[in-house]
Amino acid sequence: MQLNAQAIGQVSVDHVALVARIAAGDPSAETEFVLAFQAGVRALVRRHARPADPIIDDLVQDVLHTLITRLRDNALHDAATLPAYVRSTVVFVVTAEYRKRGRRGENDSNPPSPDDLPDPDQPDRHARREQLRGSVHRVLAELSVERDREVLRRYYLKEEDRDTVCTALAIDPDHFHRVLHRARTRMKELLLERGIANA
Amino acid sequence: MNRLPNNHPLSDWLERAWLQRYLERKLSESEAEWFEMYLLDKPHLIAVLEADNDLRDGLALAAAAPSGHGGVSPFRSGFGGGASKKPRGPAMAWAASVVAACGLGLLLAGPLSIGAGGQRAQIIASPERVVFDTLRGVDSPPLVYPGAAASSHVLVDVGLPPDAEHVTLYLAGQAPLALKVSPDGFASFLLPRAAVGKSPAPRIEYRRGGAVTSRTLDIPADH
Repeated sequence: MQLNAQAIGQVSVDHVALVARIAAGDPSAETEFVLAFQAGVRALVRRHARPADPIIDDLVQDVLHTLITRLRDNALHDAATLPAYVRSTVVFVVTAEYRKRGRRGENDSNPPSPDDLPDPDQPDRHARREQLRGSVHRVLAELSVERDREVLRRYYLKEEDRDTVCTALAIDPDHFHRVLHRARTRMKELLLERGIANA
Repeated sequence: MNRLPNNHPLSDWLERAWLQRYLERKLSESEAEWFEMYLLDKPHLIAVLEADNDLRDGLALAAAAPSGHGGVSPFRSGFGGGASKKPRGPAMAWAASVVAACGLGLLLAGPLSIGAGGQRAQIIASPERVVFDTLRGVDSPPLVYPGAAASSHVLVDVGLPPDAEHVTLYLAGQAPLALKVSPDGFASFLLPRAAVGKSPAPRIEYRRGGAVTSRTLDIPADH
C-alpha cells in the first residue's frame, strides 16, 4: 500500500512557475527541476533504451542538460506542456543515441553485448550490473515452477505479449500477472537488501 | 494530448489499471505517451516502473552471461526498448479514462450487482475507497480515501497474504461471493453506501496453507 499512500501524499510541482523561474535565471529553480524530474527521466530512459545498456547514466545527463539549457533559453512557449517536453526529449536523446550507433555499424543486426559496450572507469556501473544479474538469478531460482521462469523469459527477453505467453504456456492472465508482480516485487526487495534500489 | 491535468491525478485504482496496461505494453502509442508524461513526477509510479526495468535488465544480463540461463541474446534483432515500439495490443481509446474505468468498474461491481438482484452493474467513476492493508496489521483501522461526494458506493480493498487462495466475501443477506486477487495482492469489491455500518459487518475468508482465515471488515460509517 505504499503506492497508494504516496499517491495521496504527493505534491504536484507548479510547472508554470518553475519554467518561469528557470528562464529568469534562478539557479534554485534548476535544482528543483532536477529533483522533480530526474527519477522519472531515468526510468523513461531505461524504458526506451535497450536493456542493461551501460550508457544509461550518460543519456540521463544528456536529457537533463538539454532540458535545462532549453529552459534557460525560454524555449518552452507553453510551460504547461513541460511533462510532454521532458518526455519527448527523453525519446529524442535515446533515439539519437541508437541512430548514432547505427551509423557506426553497431546496429541491431550486429549488436554488442551489454558487457562489451564502453564502460570506462565506472566500477559502480559494473557492480550494479553484477547485482542485477545476481538478483535475477535468485528470483529465477526462487520460482519453484519452470513454467513461471519461462513466463519471465518469454515476456522480457523474447518480448512476447501477454496473450501469446498465456496461450503458449496454457496459463490464465491472472497467473501471468501474479508471476510478473511477484518477480518485480522480489527483485526490488533483493536490490534494496543490496542497497542499490530506491526505497 | 500534450497538456496534463497534474492538479487532478487519477484515482489510485484507475492509476493502477493504467500502470498495469502500460507495463504489459497494452496501451496504444498515444496512450503510452500520455501515461509516460503523467508518471514523470510521481515517485510511486516511477518505483514500479524501475522495478520492471530492473527485472528486464537483470534477465538480459543473465541471458548474456556465459553461465546464464537459456543463452538468449538480449540484443537480438529488433530488441530496442519496449515502450518505444509500436504496441501490439489493440488500441484502448483514451476518452478520459472511461475505458479503463468501465473495465475495472464492471469487474468490481459485477458480483455485488448480481447478488443484489441481477441489476446491471453501475460504473462508479470515483467512489470512496477504504483500504485494509495487511502491512499495517489486521487490527489497525483501515485507510479511507474520500471519493466523489455523489458516489453511491464504497470501494473496499483488502490486502491479502501472497499465498491466499479461495477468497470469499460474506455480506449480510447475500450469497457468498468469490473474489479475485489483484496482481498486487488485493481483493476488491464495491459496497453500496447504504450497506456501510449495518450489522453484521462484511467478512472475508481465505485459505492459506490449508487453514481458513476469517477477517471482519469494520468499515467506518462516518467517512
